[in-house]
Amino acid sequence: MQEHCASQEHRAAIVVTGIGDAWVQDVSALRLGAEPLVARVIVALAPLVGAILLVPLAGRRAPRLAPPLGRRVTLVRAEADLDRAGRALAEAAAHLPPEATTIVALTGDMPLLTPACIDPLCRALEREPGDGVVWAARGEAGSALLVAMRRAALVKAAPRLRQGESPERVFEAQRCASASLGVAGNGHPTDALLAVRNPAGLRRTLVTLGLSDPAKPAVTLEVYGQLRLTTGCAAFPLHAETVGAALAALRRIDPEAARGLGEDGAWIEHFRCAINGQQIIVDPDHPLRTGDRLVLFSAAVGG
Amino acid sequence: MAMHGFHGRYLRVDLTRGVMEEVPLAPEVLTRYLGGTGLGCWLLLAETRGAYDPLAPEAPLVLASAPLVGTGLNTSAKAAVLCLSPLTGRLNDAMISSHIALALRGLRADALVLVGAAPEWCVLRVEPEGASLHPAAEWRGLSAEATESALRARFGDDHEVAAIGPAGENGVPFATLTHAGRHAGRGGTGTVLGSKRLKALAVRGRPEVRPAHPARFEAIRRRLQARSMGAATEKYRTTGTIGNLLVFNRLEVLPTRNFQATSHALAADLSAETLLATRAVHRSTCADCKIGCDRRVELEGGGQVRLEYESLFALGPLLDLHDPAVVLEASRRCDALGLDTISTGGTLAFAMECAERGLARFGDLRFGNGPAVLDAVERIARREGEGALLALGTRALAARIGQGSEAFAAHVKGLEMPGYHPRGLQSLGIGLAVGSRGADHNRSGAYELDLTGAVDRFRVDTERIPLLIERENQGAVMDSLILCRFIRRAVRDLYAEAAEMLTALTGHPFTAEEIARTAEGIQRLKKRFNQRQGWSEAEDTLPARFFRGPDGAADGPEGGGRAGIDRERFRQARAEYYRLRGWDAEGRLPPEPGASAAMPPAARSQPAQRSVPLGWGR
Repeated sequence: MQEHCASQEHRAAIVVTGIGDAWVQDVSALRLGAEPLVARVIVALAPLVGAILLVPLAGRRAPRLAPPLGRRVTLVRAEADLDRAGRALAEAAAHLPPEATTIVALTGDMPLLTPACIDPLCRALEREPGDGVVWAARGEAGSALLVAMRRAALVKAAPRLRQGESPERVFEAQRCASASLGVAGNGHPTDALLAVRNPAGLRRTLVTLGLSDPAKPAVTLEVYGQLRLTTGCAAFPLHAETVGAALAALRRIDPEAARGLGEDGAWIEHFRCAINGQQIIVDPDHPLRTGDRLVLFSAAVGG
Repeated sequence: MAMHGFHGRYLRVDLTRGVMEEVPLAPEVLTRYLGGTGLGCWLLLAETRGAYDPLAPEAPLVLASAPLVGTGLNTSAKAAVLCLSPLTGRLNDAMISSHIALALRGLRADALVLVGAAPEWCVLRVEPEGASLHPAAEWRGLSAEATESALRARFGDDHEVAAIGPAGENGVPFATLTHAGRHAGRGGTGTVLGSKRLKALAVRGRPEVRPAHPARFEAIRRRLQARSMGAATEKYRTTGTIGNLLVFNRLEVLPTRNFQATSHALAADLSAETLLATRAVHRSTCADCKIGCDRRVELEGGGQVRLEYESLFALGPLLDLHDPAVVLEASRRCDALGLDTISTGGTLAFAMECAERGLARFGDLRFGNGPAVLDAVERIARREGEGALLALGTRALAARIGQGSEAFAAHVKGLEMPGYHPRGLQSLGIGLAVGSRGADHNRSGAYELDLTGAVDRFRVDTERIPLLIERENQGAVMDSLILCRFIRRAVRDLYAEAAEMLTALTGHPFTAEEIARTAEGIQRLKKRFNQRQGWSEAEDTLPARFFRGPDGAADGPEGGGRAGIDRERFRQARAEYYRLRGWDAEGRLPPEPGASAAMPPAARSQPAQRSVPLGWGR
């Protein structure tokens, strides 16, 4: 098979943080030396990929990365709950650059990653046909072995990947449990290592795994002013049927937004919401449609 | 007089006769009109007879204090500055903030009125004991900021200074009066001071306000303080007014290219979100204010510029500029030269469109040309070259150019339009048109109706007029108490809370109903003043650009892709405004029983009780 070598800008990475049950605490808050833990993952990715999306899971704080590292990433807040990393990845896919053809998704609690672990994975992906492959490792909560396994899996896999073996075959040998992404029936976290062909491939892969949620409209909530400054995010992709539900989802996603919006239902006093930037809506039961963009701004707008 | 919170007198400084007089103020004037804008309007009417020239020596400049000033109430350190505007020929009620307002309060008078003209360029120094003139030759040509520093070095740090820049010295009709970087900016207050050959006012005074019911007043002060530091003012504390820009762009109400369009593709470059992330921005507060809306941005070449949304829009998207370096420098130059940024930007935008249409040419001035804008700002202040024409302001310039340019001359009554595009804020469109000062979003406040969801912001109707009137009335009360508009969302029932504050302060039993009548009375004073100056219904309108095309087309090249205001609906709404105000069908105020055409039935200005000659300092 002809090897496809994508340039750096055709590669993208999604780094998910917040699923730190193995570490007992919120991974976003963990530091290794002077940096957040996730910074090590980003440093390893930076020479290999173009866009890096950092996705703190719902309810988790966004890790603060100092420049220049902070400028290297795009912060994406996703609605998905803690045990549904896959769903978060599906939402993050909306922010992937259209030119990305190789996408690697990692968790943010792998500080021992190096470019030498990741590059063979990317190259192997680029050789593969179809949408891509999904493989995962799952272990017990609090198991340090889990971390070693994941790193070990990549280190061991690298030479075989360089020799042309398929990732599916290579990683099949490494799995300690059946691959199941996003559904943790026994409450244990699922750590996932995803590699797919392109954003559409990611979405299709996750649909295949039953992770999409087409029941609720997919909308985007844009924030401005103080909310944008405190959350560090300009827009939040959400699934919500009403304005009130979208605001409630925002409160759930981002603790800084929750603080800014106040108690449930209280947002109306100090914020305004314009659907698609047009009419101002104050009715929390106002229905939403897929594709709607809610523009949220301070009620003190103006002079 | 015995009433706490009021002094029962004002100081009249006659620069021609060289005297300062104490003139009694009847209690019923003070309880009826309070202070600030209300008292200031009354004084303008009392001190003048019939129509007059805004730059004539007899034209008064009124600096009106108010009962809440000096009490420590959050945001109360303000004074109203009123005059007949040389730009509009109509009432100009501005506000100036911070320590100068406290110093004026410390003169132990309810207002300071300046009439006449000094024999040469001077600084007027005012203290409770008297006033003196000081030759100002050494300070001519300085910015207001430099003048302030120099005068405080000369007279002492216990003096607060309000000064004009070169634009005011040169008679530009939209020159500002400035104190500590804060401007009584619009309508030419600086021009009027300059017409009296005054470079600056230096005021020494320390307010001593003793409430009639101290414990009750202190409880009110604490309650307002607590409420005004919550979510109601968070926007001002986190971004300041520059936070408006990106939202307005998204809502398609950001005036762009002389109001040709309602959004700018690169507006994000000037947004608060970008500026706060990429530049050093310092926050500061006025005296007696804990909110801290003031934003001072560091410039690449050194120094700082105080930045408000209006300056950002008027010198940015309105001129098709998006480079922060250029826009900030233009704003800095306006401040240094003493030019109102809205009128400067509005006039430049109009000139740019004239050039675009081939109607007139002003050097290299065209949309998007930053260096030409920076050069033009200097020339306007010096009234030099094409700056002499630009310094006329939009209305006069359009009258000179003609050729249909009036259709896109964005002003009301000669006051250039603020950063709110009426096509997407049609309640405000009405409010700007009927406003006594001209296109003033603050005096109207009607944009809040458009942005609450209670009305359709893309159309006009008569049903919303009572709400529009109420916004105007509440604004007038706040400007007369005085409290800053930025605290408006922390006040739940303005009339009731104002009555409570004033009763605790003065001992006079104010009621909410009385305050509501005060609001109406102040609006009548404003109308009476303008009517006396020759106001007509034809002024209460918007330029043709903002109306739907004659063929009724929903979108047109003039509209920026957004349907304009329906003319017939506009006329109906304006007629409803007149009716609810109690004016006749042509918008005229009916004569009040017992009043002459000039004065309301409240007591007229009384003879001076004390007169002292102005000192002469060297």
